[in-house]
Amino acid sequence: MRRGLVFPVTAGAFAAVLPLTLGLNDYYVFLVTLIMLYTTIVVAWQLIGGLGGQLDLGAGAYHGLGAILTGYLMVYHGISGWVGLIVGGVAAAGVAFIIGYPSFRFGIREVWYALSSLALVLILQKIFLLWTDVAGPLERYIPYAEFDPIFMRSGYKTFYYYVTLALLAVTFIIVHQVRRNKLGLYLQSIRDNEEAAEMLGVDVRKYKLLALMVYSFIAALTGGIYASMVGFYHPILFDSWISIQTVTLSIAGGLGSFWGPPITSIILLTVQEYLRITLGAVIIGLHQVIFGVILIFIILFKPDGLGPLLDTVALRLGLISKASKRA
Amino acid sequence: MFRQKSALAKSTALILVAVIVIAAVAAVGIFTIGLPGAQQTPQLSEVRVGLVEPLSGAYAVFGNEAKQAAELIAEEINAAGGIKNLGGAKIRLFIEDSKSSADGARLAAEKLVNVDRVNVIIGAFISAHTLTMLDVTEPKKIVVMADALVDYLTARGFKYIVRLPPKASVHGATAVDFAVGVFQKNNQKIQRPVIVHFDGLFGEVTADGIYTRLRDLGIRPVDRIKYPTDITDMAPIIERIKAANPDIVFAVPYYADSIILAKAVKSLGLKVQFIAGAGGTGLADPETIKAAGDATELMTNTYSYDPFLPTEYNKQLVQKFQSRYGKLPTEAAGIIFYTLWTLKEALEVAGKTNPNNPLDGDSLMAALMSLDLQSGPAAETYPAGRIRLAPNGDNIYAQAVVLQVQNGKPVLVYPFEKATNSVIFPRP
Amino acid sequence: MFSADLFTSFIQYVVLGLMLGGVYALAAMGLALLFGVANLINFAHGEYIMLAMYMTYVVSLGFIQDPVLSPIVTVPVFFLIGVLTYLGVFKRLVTAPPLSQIAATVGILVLLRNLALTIWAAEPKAPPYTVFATSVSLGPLTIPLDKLVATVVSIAALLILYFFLERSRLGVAMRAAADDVEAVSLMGVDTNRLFLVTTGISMALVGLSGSLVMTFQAVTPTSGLLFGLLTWAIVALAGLGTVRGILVSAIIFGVADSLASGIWDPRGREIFLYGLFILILWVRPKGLFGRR
Repeated sequence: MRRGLVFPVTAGAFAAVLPLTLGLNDYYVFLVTLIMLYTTIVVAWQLIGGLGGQLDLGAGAYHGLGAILTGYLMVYHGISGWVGLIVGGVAAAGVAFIIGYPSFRFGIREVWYALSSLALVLILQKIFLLWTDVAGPLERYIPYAEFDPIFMRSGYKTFYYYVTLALLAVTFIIVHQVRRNKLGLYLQSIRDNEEAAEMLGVDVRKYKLLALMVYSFIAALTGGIYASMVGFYHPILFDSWISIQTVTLSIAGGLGSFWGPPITSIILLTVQEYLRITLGAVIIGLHQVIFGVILIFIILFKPDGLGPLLDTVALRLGLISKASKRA
Repeated sequence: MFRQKSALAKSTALILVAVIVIAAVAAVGIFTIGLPGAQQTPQLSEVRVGLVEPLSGAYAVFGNEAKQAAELIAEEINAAGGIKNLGGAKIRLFIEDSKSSADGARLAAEKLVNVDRVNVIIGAFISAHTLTMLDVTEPKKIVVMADALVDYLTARGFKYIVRLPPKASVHGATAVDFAVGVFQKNNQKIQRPVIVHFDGLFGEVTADGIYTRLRDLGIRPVDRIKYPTDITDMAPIIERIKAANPDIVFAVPYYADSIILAKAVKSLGLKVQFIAGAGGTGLADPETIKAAGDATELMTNTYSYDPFLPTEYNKQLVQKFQSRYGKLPTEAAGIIFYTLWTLKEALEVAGKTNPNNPLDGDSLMAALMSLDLQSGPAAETYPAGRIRLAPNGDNIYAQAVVLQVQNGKPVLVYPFEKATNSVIFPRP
Repeated sequence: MFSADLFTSFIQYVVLGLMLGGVYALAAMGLALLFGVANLINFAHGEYIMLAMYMTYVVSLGFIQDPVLSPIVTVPVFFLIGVLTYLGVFKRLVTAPPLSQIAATVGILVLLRNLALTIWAAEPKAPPYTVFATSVSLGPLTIPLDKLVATVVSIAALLILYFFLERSRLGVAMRAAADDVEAVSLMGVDTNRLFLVTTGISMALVGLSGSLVMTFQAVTPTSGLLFGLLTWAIVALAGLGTVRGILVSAIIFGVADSLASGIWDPRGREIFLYGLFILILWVRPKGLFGRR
């Protein structure tokens, strides 16, 4: 078997049977699905953050938008969640364009995009809090169905698990392909030296926007899946914490590394959930404080994150090929 | 050549091992966690009661009081021999934090149902959160005894839910009836009421209750003001109330906003004859009084529980609660008092009528529906003194009372016949 | 009769907004200094303001009831916090790429926000009462005295800062560093010390504005995010340059804030303010912050 495939295939096989391992227990499968949803966002974030070099804080906005729109279409128009996912994705990409376009011009400092993406989370939340026809301050409940795959609603969490797994796999493939082909090379050249890239004729803005829109589309999909899974939606789903969590996990995993962020994401999120179960609400916000500390620590002392470390270990173990290593 | 072969062999071996391990773990998993009945069935030495309450976050004040009440009552029931018709089975509480959010409540319900295997869930105080729990409990036929007030909970055809306290619209109507009565006693009529409420589900429904009652009495509100639940500055709200020039303000707040409201009324000098709350949260309970100081003086609110109910058991219970927790039990605690005791009665009935499977959802619902309590600890802590459920799960004899803050303490002022103190009207 | 009332309301909101703008200017000034002089992106600026607000709340419970008087405590304490933050974190960040600065300060943001959540919970906190609880009447308008005092103090502080930057040696060095750091260091100025002092002053301004803003609003753990985005938006509109620019920009935002929440909806506030921010990005990009 080709070296590069050993790890993904093993991980994939494990992931495929995980729900069985958990005894199909809705609670545990739910938690695992949640971890995978957030990891999907982290992997997609590599497009704009790792490759595009922008510190995007909009994950919460895109995820929330997907949740609200998918939920809205399911509740008020009886439209299948699958369609809702696409609608949410397109809307998210559109909104991303609105803040990306002015911020990605050559010479505009990164801080403005970071700020506007964060602002987007709040703007969208307030808009939907006021837009009572679609959302408003009341929770909206999606009708229960024991198992309706066409509508995309199920009482069994295992259904969502596999949907998410599929999305995660597709996201991996997309990011992998982007890294290897022209788009990825362009993005990296921009990240490494924007001036030089601009001078060489690379259309800086176009490629950043492309990366951004793919990423925001995927983030919206995770939101739609989430809404269908929990059975309701509300503007509180526009949560800046999702943005911050995504950034923290990506940086800790190593910008530019392929396996670093998702592995870090799975490990840290699992630990977080475990702590939440055992410690409960002993100290609210504690796990978030820890995330903050991790972020500061990594930036100050180990800016490359865990990525290089993980890559080296994996290379030694013969799990991945050199091509998968840090771009 | 060798290196390639060994690398190939290594990877294949790795995969083989992985597959075997996974298969083994999967098998173990299915047998221990998954199969129904595979998990150790709770011996009927205990009844597992789940409690979902906001123990942290914006509504922690209510959740913690509910938790305190639950622990107290569970202790009492167990000390008195548990559920006799179930062989003395003890009540075992499984307490989860809803973290003051809808998905937190849902997650808590998931855990209680799938991991802790509870037989019944009490919760989640906040109506919107309770609705999300039903997504989890209805399919699995776990009975929910709601301590949340919004009408929908019993109006949407949910099968496994009961709700003992008076529903939100009843609270609203009570506030109006009370206010009308007060005005009448002073030879006045309400002509310019203003309704102020937070924009969440509970605020809306309770305010609707007020509005409907006023309309039925032929009174039209001059203004209906909605504010965001997380508001920090009420000055514009007070301005708007002033502009409407009301003779009475009906308010439906939660906790934090009730403090801000009270303080703003005081610091901005809002002059109005009366301020009547509805919904049982904020304004006239000990925590709010402590936090807002004398700004809450003379304000009222409707409650699902009367701490001054003069029955023997209630007096004893209130004293016990006060000495243990240092405060008067109000809404959150009160609802738990009679809900848990009612559960006990229902369990006794279920144990007798369905000894083979008493804790099954249908059996428990049937037992609850069969109750008509007019005496005993449950009835003795209930304002109307009688508990009997309608088919949709509401208490037929639901009644709310009104407490007013007088000299920094809440006192009972309505129903007028039962009042410990007379209403102080109007505001200075 | 009706339209006269509406008009009075409108003017009332505008006046309130002007006063708010004064305090916002003070809040944004600290950010502008840090960003301009040390070229440091502090994403957690809003959280520091929030911290100052909480400190004011605590102080008002303990010793000094009035938020307008608490700067006596918060200003020196925050100067110290600024120094410590610089030595602990910022010093290393000054030479780091912008992405690292943003990421690290986001870490501080998370830390401070959740610390506040843990210590003070989610409910809004406000000082119990203020000595200046009365209002002054100016014709049909009511001007709350405490807010007026806060605004006056803010303007005074901005004036002092202005003269400091114009006249004092340190101030001139700071302005020079904003233009060209290398030249400044070549001229023998210890940039490390300069940045240290800049951070200290920036934080002192945060301390002062945090206290003063408590006369207008209560504080919650999410206040940090609001103030962070607001002050950055003010800096975006003003560009880095003058105290006057910040003041004008802040007043625009203050009035917009007051009108949006008064006339439209308290929730509309954020939509308006941040929408304005994004509009600025679209319309006045390079000219405003193309400087370096």
